[in-house]
Amino acid sequence: MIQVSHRIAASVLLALGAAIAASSCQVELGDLPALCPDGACPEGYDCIQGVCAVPGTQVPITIARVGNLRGVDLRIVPQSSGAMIAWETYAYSPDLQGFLARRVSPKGEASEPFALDQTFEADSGLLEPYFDVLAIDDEHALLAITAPSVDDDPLPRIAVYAVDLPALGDEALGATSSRVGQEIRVSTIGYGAVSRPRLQRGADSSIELGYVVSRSQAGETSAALGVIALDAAGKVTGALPTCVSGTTPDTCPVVRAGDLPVAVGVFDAFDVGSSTFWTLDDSRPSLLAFDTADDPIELALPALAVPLMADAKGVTYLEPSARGGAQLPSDPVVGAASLGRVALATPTKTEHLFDLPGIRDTPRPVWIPRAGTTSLLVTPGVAIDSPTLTVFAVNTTTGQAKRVATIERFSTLELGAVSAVVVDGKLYVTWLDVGDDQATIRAAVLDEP
Amino acid sequence: MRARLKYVAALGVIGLSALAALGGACSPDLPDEPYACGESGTCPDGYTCESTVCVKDGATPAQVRSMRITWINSAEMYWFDAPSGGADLVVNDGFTPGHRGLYEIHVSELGDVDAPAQIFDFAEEFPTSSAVVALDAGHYGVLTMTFPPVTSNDQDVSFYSLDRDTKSDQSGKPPVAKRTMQYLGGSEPAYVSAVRRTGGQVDVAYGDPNQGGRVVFARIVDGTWQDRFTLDLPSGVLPLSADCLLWDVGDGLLLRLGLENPVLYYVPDTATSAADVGAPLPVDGLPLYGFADSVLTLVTSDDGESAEYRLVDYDGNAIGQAIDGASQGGLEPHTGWVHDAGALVAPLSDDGSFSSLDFAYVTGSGIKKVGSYERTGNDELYSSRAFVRDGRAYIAWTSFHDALMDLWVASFPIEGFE
Repeated sequence: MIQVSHRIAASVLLALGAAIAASSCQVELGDLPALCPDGACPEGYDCIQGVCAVPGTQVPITIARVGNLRGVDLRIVPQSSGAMIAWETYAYSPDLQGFLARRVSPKGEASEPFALDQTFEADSGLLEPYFDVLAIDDEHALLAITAPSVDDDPLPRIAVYAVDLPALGDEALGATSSRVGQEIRVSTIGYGAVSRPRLQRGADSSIELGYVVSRSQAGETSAALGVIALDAAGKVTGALPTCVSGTTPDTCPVVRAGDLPVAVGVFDAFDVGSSTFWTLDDSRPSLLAFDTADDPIELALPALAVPLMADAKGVTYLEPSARGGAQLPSDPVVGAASLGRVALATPTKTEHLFDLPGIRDTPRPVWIPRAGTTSLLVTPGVAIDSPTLTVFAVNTTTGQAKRVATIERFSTLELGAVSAVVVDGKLYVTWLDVGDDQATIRAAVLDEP
Repeated sequence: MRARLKYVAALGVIGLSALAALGGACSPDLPDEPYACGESGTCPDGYTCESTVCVKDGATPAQVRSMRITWINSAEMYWFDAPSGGADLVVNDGFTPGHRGLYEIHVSELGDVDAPAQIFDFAEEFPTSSAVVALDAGHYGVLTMTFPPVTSNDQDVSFYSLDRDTKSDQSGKPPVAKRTMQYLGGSEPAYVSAVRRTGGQVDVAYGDPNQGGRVVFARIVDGTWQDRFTLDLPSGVLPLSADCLLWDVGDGLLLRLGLENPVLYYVPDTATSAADVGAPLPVDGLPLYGFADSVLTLVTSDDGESAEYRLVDYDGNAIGQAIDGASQGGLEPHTGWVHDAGALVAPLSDDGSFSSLDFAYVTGSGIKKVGSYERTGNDELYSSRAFVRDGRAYIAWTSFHDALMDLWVASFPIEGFE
């Protein structure tokens, strides 16, 4: 197997094609013989999503090709019609530091790419920035970025940008961004202790930005959750949390006590009535919940568990199939996945609910709760190089998981990430194909199962 | 080696088929290095996969791209005398998923560059930090710090003795010694350091981030790990940023400690507790190598485009003439590499593109440029390490390519310097 980049391969194919034509060489073309950046394909093939394919083939949408991309840096954000797929380019890449996006329409058409922001400065030699993006509406979004320092102050930074998005269909006009206020410097225990940020819209339309603050004081190492309140323009409302501002007495909830690592990020959030519950870390996860007296309760979850749904009484989580081999994210997994639950009343007690089909933890399974019906679960199953993504409809009352859709990837490259949203009767799925010298973001749109 | 079906597998098959077909009636004119051959090693007839590139049989590249990886930390490139002649380069590919490990690349005394041989498979979810020394002609000493698998909360520091002639994975060997601390999270372990001293013992230092953070000093003597003492981190060094780098200064060690604003300590061999270690030395810039009474430091301009390599005494006073040159924003020389009584420092250049990779020899009394290599390509540099043996210079460098990193190796005769 010749291992070449798509672009090189395409150019080689074109050159070979010309040579073949000139010398009457005969070759058998397969189902997907070439890329078609200019729309031209051999006879009998259509150019579908930039690939010459047998007519009618459901070819995934190619969103972007990048040198490398961490799985956490692929996001999908609902729009009123369609979805916005966002990703990051790193300071050491030819594209330099940037936060980019493309919209995908219900018909499966990808917009022109546009930059959510390209002004944020990052150190190419240090940990790549983390980001989260929250759409306020179709023309406005907030972008939260956390990153190591770029100056002599070793404290990491939190920055919030207000982004004016192009109108639907006008993506070629680009977006504009402006940082809201100053960067916030926050305590850390050192390199790598930069929390992934999480933007969450509360029930009252307030916006919260969650960040895990790590600190080392008087021989003690600890962490606290700082929740910064923002308005729709990204402006901080009220005082910063004490663990973020460094003021005393500190009233932030202490998290990750005991044996849990403290240099972790915020991975998810749940709007639970008057409170927000926060998922911290992904490998040794915990859920910071609040009881009826608004007192914090941290629920320790099984390793690699994915909190799915939370309510005032507890959290339901998915425990993926057990890792085999050397316990690496890319290693094979064995056995069934399962649904479990932890109640706030018994925060150290996990309850097994139902078994599910085998599901690996990497890429992280996607869970889409739906009011009054089954939830959707999107996963490659047990194989990291599965040529398909499977959509299950899961009944959390009975534990029944029914396969309701399959997405052909036309690839067995390893998957680096999967993300999905449902918007107006359509399921938008994006994923990351990871090759040796580049990663490719792809997407598919299907009717909501 | 992983065998995987690519998205354009059909295209690749067609390419092979077409080449085969063309072998009869069609004759494309391919250059000496037409393709990357990657993990599969497949190349057209008449070409051989050499260090990830298909090279025409009989052609000798002036410089070899030994690895295309996600990242190799600037600290983790090491040159050694090869027992068979020439030089051995050891690097830690800490970031390429599925390939994390130590690799040895042998360069013959004629300049032939062998393919990388993985000598230690880290098989970790996270990077493993490492320091490598030559214990003797037949063994490497390898100090590692590893983050735990998800089933554990133990962060380990281990010291291994690896056979140099094995040229294969030795990750199954038990460590000579292991120390464990609680895992606190983060993206990668801090740099650890090891230095082989006159007499054969190996001094090591590493950061333990717990309880506010400290540096742990230990010594391996005749294969036995001896704990020495610990030093609490100064206020400017954060627990997960306690990168350690040791230099042998005769009657003790110089320790460069920290990441963002590193500090420099003199640690006498007679020290038995932190009380025996003095205050940080008042040296400006980034220390790159230490001697008994002096330190080579790097001072870069605010715009990151120029650099000054300056020798100073332990009080920060300049010694002799500094060398000025260019720099690049992402460039990290990290450290000089021991050579006789001094060290070789790379890369230097008068050209901002670093088309000329120069290196200097520094001793406790002065610094001067002694070699230069005109590289092909202009990818931005990340780090470099130079080595000289028996009238031949060996230079390795990493550079950014797209969002990945390339490791390049070149060697050439050098005159007037040994």
